[in-house]
Amino acid sequence: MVYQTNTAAVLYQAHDLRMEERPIETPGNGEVLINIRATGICGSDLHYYLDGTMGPLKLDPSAPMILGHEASGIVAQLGSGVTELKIGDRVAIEPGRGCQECRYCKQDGGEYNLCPKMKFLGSLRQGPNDGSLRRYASFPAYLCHKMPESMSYEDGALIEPLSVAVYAVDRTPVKQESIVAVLGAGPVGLLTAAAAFAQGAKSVLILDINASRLEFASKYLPNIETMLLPKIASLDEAQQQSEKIQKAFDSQEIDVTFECTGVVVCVNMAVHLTRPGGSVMLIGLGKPSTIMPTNAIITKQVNIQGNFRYANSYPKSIQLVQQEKIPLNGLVTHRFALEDTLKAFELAKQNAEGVMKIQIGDF
Amino acid sequence: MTFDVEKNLSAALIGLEKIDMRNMPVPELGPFDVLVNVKVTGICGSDVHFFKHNRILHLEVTEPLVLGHESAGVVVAIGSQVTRVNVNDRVAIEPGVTCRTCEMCKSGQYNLCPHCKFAATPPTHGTLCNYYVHPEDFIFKLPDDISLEEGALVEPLSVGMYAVERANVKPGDVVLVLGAGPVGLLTCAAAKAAGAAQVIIADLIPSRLEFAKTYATDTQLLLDRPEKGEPNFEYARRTSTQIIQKLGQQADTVLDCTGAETCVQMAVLLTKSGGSAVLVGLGATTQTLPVVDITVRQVNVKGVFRYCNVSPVSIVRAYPRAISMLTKGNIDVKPLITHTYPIEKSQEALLHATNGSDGAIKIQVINDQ
Repeated sequence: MVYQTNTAAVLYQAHDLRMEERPIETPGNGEVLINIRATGICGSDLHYYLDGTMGPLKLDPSAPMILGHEASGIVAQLGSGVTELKIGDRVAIEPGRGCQECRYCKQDGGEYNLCPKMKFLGSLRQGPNDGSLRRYASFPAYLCHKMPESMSYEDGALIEPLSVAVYAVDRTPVKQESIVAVLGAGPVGLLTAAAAFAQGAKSVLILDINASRLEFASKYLPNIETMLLPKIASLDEAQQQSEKIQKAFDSQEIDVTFECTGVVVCVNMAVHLTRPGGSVMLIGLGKPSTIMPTNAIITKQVNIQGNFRYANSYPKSIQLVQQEKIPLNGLVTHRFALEDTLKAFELAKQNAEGVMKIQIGDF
Repeated sequence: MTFDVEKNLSAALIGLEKIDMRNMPVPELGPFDVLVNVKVTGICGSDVHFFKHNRILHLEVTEPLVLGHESAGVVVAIGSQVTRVNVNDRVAIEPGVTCRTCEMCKSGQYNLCPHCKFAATPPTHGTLCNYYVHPEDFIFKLPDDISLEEGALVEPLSVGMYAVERANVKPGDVVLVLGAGPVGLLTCAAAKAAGAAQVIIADLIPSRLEFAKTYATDTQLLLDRPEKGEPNFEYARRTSTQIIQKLGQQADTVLDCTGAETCVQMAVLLTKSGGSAVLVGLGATTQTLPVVDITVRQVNVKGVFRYCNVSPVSIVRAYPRAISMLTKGNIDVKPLITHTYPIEKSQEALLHATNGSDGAIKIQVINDQ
């Protein structure tokens, strides 16, 4: 279907999301016009909707922003100079435009995710940058990764959060025979567990306070081990609970722990759960400063790493899905048409049981 | 083979800021053991802490404990199966004896051995004594041109070299070290030796920075004390902003050699995106860290616990590597020795180390028996 208008989900301020018609941008040099077919909602999108802020940045109603960054679509038009894509190509969109000039972009392009001038879809930084929750968007061709024919738009839009997981796992020492723990059984935790298995991990233990999420995890990844956590109130409790978990987990020494919640007690548990000489990868974003067990970090030499998005991860992630090394089925639990974006955000806001990944689009 | 008990004069901690010079028994010499007549022992912050508080976190001194762990001496006897050293060899003592059979020991990160017996960490007696028995695989011969005083600095130098290793300092790097005590200074020296293009050191005490000017640093930054009632994080933020303004950039790596919360926070804030903040100084059990910098800027945080093996090219023990840096003159540790005391005055030595007066950097205790 070819649309004549460009319906877009525009956020003016917290709880003020409006569906509007926007012009269809002509793709510039090196760009392609994409008919966006699926956009997933992520915690950061929800945060914008609920709070209108991201860290110190606040949305200004006079400069509203289209939300969304986990997207896939089909190429509708080519800008000048585009040779790698043709009309009709189905693509997974990598939503971050780096400056291409700084040391992070240039260093073999290895760390462009850290570019200080990064313009990221649906993000206020260096913006506001209009996101993917619209019918049509023009975007640099080099950031549109071709999807295999067998890959659905739904799966294509999952490549974004999957890339976070693949990139994060790749930067840790996870390899054959590694024992891994994951805190948080939301989409990021699940994808991280899947990526850890794909990387060769011998066993993966996922922890959450929500039993239904753990049930979901067992269905999604049959080889995963799960452990239900009680609600933990103090740091001392976090340490004690970690010791209990280690004993229950066959006293296997955990090599790498992925923290996918951002919650303070979980960040602390991650350090206590990990064996001396192991690594903790912080993926979840919580408060800007957190109390941490620095003495344990030093005397156990548990290496702390943080993760911010991904770099050069889309092709690998697409390949892992194509080779069936990482499953995606079942992760998308709710789908909405673009016109019903508001309903989708209201559902996301409820944090209800049985809701894993919500996607919006024309599948 | 045992020596006359009366000759093993040892500095035993018996109470708060109380040292008793007493004769301690000398253990039996096993087949792989070496008996060292300890000649020089440096005083370290951990010795001072035990001296002042009789504890460090959960480690309590409940019985008399001989202090000291930074030592060098002369071999006076060797066990029947010892091959690495001979009687009369001048040696440096690596003070932590590990089990050698656990996974940590076998994989090379033996500093993380859960069964380590470390000199002057209760209940293991330290080296501030006359005669010390130690396994040969933790004893290193000193070349003829390296003095015993320098030999006693191999321990903290190994910490500095291992810290630089953990920080992955590469030629051309900009390195910032927080804290101009002996560990900070030796970390600077190690960073220079690893090829750092610019080594910056920061401290609160002007006299320490005066010394640092003469020792392995390119830039010295005097930090002002926090304002009255100023929260640590406020101080860390504003001081980091000032430093970044002054340097024109953040550092490739920051090594904190203080353990103070403000400095740990600054270490993260002052490290470039993708770099490593390395925590050498041990401080409070928990500290607040700017975790948004760890995640959004991908700043790694790595701790340093003593030392083990260094060098990514071929695995080499830290101790012989440190000794080799001394012989090649790449690192000169002698300037750090500011004061010496005879072993009979161990109490005075520890008190001096505690108050740090008279520009004290490294205080050494000399045994001429």
